[in-house]
Amino acid sequence: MSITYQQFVEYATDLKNHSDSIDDGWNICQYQCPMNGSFVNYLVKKEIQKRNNSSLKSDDSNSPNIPIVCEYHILYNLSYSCPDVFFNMWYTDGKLLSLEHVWSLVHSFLKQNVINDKWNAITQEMHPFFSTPFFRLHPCKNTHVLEMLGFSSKNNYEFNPLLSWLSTISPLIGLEIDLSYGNKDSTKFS
Amino acid sequence: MANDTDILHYLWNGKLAVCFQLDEQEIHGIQNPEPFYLMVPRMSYFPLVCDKVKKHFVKHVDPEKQEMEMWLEFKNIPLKWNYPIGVLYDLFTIDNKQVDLPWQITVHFDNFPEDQLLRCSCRESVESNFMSSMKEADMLKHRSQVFSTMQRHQHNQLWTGLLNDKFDQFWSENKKLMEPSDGSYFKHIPVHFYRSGSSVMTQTLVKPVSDDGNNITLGELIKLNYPSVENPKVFTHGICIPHETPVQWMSEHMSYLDNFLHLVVI
Repeated sequence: MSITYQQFVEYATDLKNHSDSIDDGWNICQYQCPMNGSFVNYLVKKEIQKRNNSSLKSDDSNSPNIPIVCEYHILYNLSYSCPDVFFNMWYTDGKLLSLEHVWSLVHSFLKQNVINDKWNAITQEMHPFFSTPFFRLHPCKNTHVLEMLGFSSKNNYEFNPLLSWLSTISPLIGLEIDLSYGNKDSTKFS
Repeated sequence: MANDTDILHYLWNGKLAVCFQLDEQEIHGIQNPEPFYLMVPRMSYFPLVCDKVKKHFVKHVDPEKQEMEMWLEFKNIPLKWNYPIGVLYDLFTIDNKQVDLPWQITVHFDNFPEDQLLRCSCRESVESNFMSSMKEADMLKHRSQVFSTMQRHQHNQLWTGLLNDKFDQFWSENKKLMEPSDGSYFKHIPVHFYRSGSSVMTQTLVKPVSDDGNNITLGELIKLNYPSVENPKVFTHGICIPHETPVQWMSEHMSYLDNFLHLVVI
């Protein structure tokens, strides 16, 4: 299912409102297009996670947990008409994690799938707003994920499609979605 | 589709003379390395043509730094390898009469600017970047209906055509991607916009035809997206493009190999 930018903003605002109520740290930021000056909204969350310092090959859970500084951006992709997630992860000294390390942080139940097709799953790409390197989950399957979750352009849903999508892909990118997002008072979406 | 093959050949064969020189600070030992000269295709990407450059300079840097990733710089600007070579050249030279060929590029191994450049540890990173651009371009042109129905070996033809500089191999598959889907237009035109002198790329949805059924020209496109730029000039492949050129024609004939038009506006 593809979504329009207006729908994206509606879903993002709903997500942000719940985030505010549980102090989850999501914010809506604005990007001004340098060409025509128009404003575009996107979601941002910054947090510090304690993560395993393991490599892609060694899968030992004994390696120590280290703090990782994470920044997630969820924006609207005009080409694919779907949400698009960009993220960066740094050590506390400011050094960026390697792509291999980011792959190794994928949740264990999805890790093998990602490793088998890693160059089509998560790679480093230029952020469309800032032209700086970010990690990115490849967007071309996002509309497919939304369809698999039962969303289609014709229905009204009781759940926020952006939230359903995000909680589906979150184990790939080390993001935890609080369970309360799932049983909050439902708004009707169209 | 792209029926003016003379233009396709002409652009494919566009090359730039480049003079690579190791950064002075990074020279290890008493012997200064000779500069390294190379003719590089405008349509290609630096990591695909720089194996010899790396081999030439790596023995002149500190042995502890020889394993580090090589990166390139022009006038203190790190060069983004994920942009085609011709785009990088046009971006930083077109507005500057002082720059002459060969293009003087500085080679680095140390202090990789990871806040500005993508890592490129292996060829797969270039391939993945290139193929996902092609996929996105096809999404814009045909709602992804051509690229996603191609077989694995057809995707490989595109990639190896670029890698080995084989026009016929590349175009045998690329012509399918350049076929307008309904009638004579793509759904949208894949375009990357740049302002001369900056490596910031911007993208927007571009239609090939206006609501009243007329071809949208380059001049109209630029006026729409850069309303405040007076007398804009638009370059691609080092050529200043006449404003009356239809963007549909440009997309079919003047796109880079990733199927995007890369337009430098000054």
